[in-house]
Amino acid sequence: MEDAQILEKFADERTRDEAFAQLLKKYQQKIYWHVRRLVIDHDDADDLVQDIFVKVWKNLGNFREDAQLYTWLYRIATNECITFLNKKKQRQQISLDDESSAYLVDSLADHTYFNGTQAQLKLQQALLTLPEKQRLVFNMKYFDDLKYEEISEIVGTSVGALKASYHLAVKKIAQFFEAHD
Amino acid sequence: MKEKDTHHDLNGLEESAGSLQATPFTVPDHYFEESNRRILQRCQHIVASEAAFTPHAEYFDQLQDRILIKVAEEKLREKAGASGFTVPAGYFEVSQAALLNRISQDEPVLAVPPVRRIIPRTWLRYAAAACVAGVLGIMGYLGLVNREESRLATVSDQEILSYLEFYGEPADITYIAEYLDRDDDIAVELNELSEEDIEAYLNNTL
Repeated sequence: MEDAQILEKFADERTRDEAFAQLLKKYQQKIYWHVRRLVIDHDDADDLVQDIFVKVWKNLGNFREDAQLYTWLYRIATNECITFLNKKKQRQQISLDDESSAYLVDSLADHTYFNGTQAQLKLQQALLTLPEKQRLVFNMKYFDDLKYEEISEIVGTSVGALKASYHLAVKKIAQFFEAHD
Repeated sequence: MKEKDTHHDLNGLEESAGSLQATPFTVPDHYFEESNRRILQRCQHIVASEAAFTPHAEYFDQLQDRILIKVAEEKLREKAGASGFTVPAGYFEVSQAALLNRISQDEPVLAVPPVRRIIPRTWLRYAAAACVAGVLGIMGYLGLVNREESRLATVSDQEILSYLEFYGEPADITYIAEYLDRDDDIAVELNELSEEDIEAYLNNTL
């Protein structure tokens, strides 16, 4: 179902639940994977996705149609993840100024619901050495294949800065692979 | 048949007919000026379009770096194109059902909460209506004051202030403050008010 149709049906109380079920069907997995790659742990991702979609349910009526629905969903998801990660940092008594994602290494080492190759594991390990912003941009570009313009709309950063972030991330990951060969 | 030497044949006519070598063709008035202008214009377009295709100064310096990054990205995709994360079997179906169950207990917000807004032209109507309401209120109060005095005496000033703070509209104070220094004659506006307007205001606000 097209986004416009989902929104139209959501506006009508009689078809609201059906519209939301369609929205879930269309975007739940995309949002889950976006969240999962950021928070690493499945249970954390599961809790967050539930909260994100409840938030979407509550606010979809206010959605401005001049933005794309999926970039709006990604924005909500990204903000929820950042809030969650900041809280996790605070719980682990890590300064919010510390940009690295190294505090998530334990979640990755757990290996629950990780069935990747050695190279895929190494890529995730490399990603956790990056500053959170670079990891976020890399994930959206590399795995979700989003355009810089779309990422810019989601994270509110200029396209030029995003390109620089992504290039730097790729360079650091390539160096990580060379160093850990 | 062998071609005749026509040049020799025409030599005899030269004196009577003027120079036969001069072209008999003509051009429109101002043709050459116009043609010059058009040629120059086309040259300018060519120069401009070449400039449009010229990359910015640092382009070629950065190009090599960008290509190398792209190559590194492609190599990475060959080794690790996916994240490697998995989910429990049937997770998405169960999760979707749980979510739909959860939201069925909650109501969405379907519109932005209405914001009270008083446009400049109509604020006077509201202010005037408020004056009328105030006068009516004072008259009513004066009529009732003797009966209510004993009851009000038991209510502290602080409680009255809290009540006003809680039920008052701060936005109204802001708007009224904005228009305090206007020179408009409220009395004129007051005369323009219909009874329906005043009644509607009182119904909506009191």
